[in-house]
Amino acid sequence: MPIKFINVSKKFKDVYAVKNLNFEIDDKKITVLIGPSGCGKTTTLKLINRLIERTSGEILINGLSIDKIDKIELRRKIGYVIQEIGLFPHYTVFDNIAVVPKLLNWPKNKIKNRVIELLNLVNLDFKEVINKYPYELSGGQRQRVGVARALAADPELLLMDEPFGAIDPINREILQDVLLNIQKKLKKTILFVTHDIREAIKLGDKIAVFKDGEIQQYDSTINLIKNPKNKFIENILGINAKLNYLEFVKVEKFIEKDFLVTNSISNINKIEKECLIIFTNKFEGFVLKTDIKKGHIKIRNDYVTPDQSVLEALNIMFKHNIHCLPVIEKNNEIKGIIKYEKIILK
Amino acid sequence: MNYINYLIVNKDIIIKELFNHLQIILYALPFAILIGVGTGILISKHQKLSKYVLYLTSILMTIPSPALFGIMVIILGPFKLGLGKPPAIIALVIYSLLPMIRNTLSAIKSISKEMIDSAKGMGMTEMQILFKIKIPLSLPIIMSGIRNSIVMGIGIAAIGYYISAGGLGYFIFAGLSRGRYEMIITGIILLASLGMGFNYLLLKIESLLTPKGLRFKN
Ligand SMILES: Nc1ncnc2c1ncn2[C@@H]1O[C@H](COP(=O)(O)OP(=O)(O)O)[C@@H](O)[C@H]1O
Ligand SMILES: [Mg+2]
Repeated sequence: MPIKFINVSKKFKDVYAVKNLNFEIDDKKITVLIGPSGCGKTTTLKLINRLIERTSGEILINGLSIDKIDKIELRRKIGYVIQEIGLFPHYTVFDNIAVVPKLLNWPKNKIKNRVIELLNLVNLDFKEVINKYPYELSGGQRQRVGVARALAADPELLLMDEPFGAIDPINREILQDVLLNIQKKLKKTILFVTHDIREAIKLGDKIAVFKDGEIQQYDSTINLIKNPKNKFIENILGINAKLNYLEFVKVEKFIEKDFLVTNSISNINKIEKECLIIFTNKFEGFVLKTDIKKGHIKIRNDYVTPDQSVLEALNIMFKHNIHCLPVIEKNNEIKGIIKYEKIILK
Repeated sequence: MNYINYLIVNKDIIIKELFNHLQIILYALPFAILIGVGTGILISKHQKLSKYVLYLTSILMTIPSPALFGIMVIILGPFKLGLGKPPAIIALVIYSLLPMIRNTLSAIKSISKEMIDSAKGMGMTEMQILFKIKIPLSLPIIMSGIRNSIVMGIGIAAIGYYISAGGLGYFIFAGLSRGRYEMIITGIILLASLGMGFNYLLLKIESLLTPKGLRFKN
């Protein structure tokens, strides 16, 4: 569900909480909102599920104004996760996750199966936790239940307001990985609020930087890091941003299709594409355009998997002094190639 | 010796007045809960209104109880309900309001805004939030308000004797005017055991009504 903000403002009394928001949230991607406390991130989220009504402007979901959809119905179609406090203390894990399916009158069996499926998805042992109350869980477990609950009725859109903010750093990393894994499988449109730039870089396909209720810069994560528009953005990014980026961003984000596949290299003297992948029933190696010199062909064996980090890919490239690498799935499926010039930062 | 003798001779009267006393309290109870808890829930959404209502009920509480019974007699007189149980029951209801409204309000207020937002965000209606979230989470505190009101009411109901409502007040006030200590002691023992008995019973109900997920706090 793509979401479009057109000139959206929200005033409390005379003060703007957000002002003139104009931006589009991409379908099936993670968009991160970041900025100092009080800059309007939470307000922006709540404008979408109408916990807060905007003062002016228009918000479109799938091209349709959110005013045209019944408020209650709209909310049941949107997953909402806040800090751990959002779980109902008098409900068991099962009942917490079953809230929206029950509101939607799903049959009992379907709810049960769904809860078990979701607990597996967030890597919780359902037998162990399903009948527990929130106070019997650790902070990390609670937050997993929170994510499972938001996904219960399979919404296309997830709104997450600093969901891992109260979790210790080690468990936060784990939860972020859980979320990335889920996203890989389910491809939801996710709007994620954080004030942690490391988290933003790790999770965000795109990042919107807020200041005083306005968007300072909205760009893909890499562009933001490459071209911070002003001092404020640079400060938000901090000194580790580039390193974080290389560390977190997965190879899969840079896969290109600029390659050919062959099962034999016997009669090749010119490659039309950057990279020629040799593949019989498994990956056998690859040849770069520049590797063919005067009839001599050099075959290379390196590759990366899509879930390796860009930093790892760069390491391999530096080691062999090459500018691109094949991306091969663990089951030997060819995903594409990754190129140096696309990932390297200025 | 005197005292045992008194109990044996007057056991019918004792049972009758005990029954009268219970009657006043048990009649007042449903009204007090309905009005007190209901008002608390209804006004909980309005900051200002809550403040005024709490202010008003705390003024009512400062009226000395004999005076309130007297006022009831005067107000209900024209309807031929001036004496007997009705004024006593109504006075008791009024006395119970403050603790019930106050506890209901503070119970509902103590639920975090985030939790309510979370419920709203999932698409619960106002009614669903009230019955599935607010009331269950408030129940322990509301119940302790009810318990306080009832235990307090057991003592106050004794004043009903003065307006011919009957009840255990008879033994104390008649005993005082006649200088009969065995009567006074009987009244005190009965009132005290009634108070403790109700307190115990209501504590039990309170812990039964506390949702499982909240019990760890006790
Ligand atoms: N219900 C409200 N009433 C008045 N002001 C509010 C309300 N909610 C938020 N604000 C104000 O709006 C601004 C943005 O708040 P918020 O969106 O919560 O910021 P963030 O989530 O980025 O910390 C803040 O200045 C805050 O004080
Ligand atoms: Mg916030």
